[in-house]
Amino acid sequence: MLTVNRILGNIYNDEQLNTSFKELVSKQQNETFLITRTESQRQRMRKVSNKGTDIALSLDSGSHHLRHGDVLLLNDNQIVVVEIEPENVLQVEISKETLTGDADSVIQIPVQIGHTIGNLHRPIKLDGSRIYFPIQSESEIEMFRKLFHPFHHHIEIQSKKIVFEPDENMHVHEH
Amino acid sequence: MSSKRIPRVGVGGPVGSGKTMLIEQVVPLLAAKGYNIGIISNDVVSKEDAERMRKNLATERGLMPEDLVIGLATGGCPHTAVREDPSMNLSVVEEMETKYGDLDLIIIESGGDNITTTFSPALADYFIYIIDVTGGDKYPRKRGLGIETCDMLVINKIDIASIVGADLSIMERDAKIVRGDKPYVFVNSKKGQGVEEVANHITKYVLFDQPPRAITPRANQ
Repeated sequence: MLTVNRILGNIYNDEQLNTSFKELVSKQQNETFLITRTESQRQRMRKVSNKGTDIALSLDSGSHHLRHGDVLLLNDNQIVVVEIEPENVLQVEISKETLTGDADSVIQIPVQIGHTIGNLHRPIKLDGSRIYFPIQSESEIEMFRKLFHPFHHHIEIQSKKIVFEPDENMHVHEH
Repeated sequence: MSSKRIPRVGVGGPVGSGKTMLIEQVVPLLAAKGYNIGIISNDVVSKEDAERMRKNLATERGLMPEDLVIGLATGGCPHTAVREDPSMNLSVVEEMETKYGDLDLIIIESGGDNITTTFSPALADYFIYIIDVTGGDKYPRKRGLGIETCDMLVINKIDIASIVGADLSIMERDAKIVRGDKPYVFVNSKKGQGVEEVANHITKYVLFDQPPRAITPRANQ
């Protein structure tokens, strides 16, 4: 069992780690520590990597959430990287016409969308005019379409499967 | 925070599914391995469960000091106290960490709730969800966040399955479909059947198979 007490950094925002990662990938010496989004908020867990390394993670209180790309272990011939399992999300995109339209729609439509999502206690990720939030089952697509119906001509809804990492402070519980 | 973080297990499930009794069965098994344990028991109105565990585990069996079984009357929806706003539970956890730094584990029992109960990852490192056969064998396939996402699903009262017309093979099949590779275990908490597997999972996945922090078992105080 390998005990990990701290995150070494993230391959997506640390160039040196990224270079090491690529080198070790080319030699097939990379391993994946696959977790769900809920598990990414944990400070203590024990799991096996995709190559069978038994890893006991025990982070200090107040540690940040685990991120996609976090490095748990690095040496000359091994790198263990966190991957967050992709999950089903809805992407709601607000139309350009709405966002460049009159003051009423610029404010009211986004607020109504936010209110609807918040009422169902979902975390969100924002990207330009797009809002992403997780869904728990296929049947929820229909439910959200109904909830968004009053302003359906302002938005486009698509379901996708992505690695969903909520924006900071937008971690919310789910029912 | 200067004190050491103590690992925590959350136990959730509907009213009457056997949360308290499961804890009463698991604690002696872990205590026999030398682990020192604290318990926080959430309830909506009363503190009956905490009082029962204090009497059974601390007063009569001396497995822990009496003040290490804490009852919280949460009011309102029980899940809010372990998920949406776990601050009340977290403050008790921190108090235990300060006062009893050598504890190996804190078990947090949720008040009885519906099938969507989960624990905030900020509160629990491992989440056990318990249901029982009296809800019918349809229970696992009806899903719900608790059943789907918990680290271990416990199906209790298997001794009365035939009386209530619940087919355990259906529950087993559906648990596998809904949970994939994640574990489930059938238990009869009254008799302790299957409970050892729950204790073993806690030892492996929460305590990391490490020896107890305190070398000598805590005497009754």
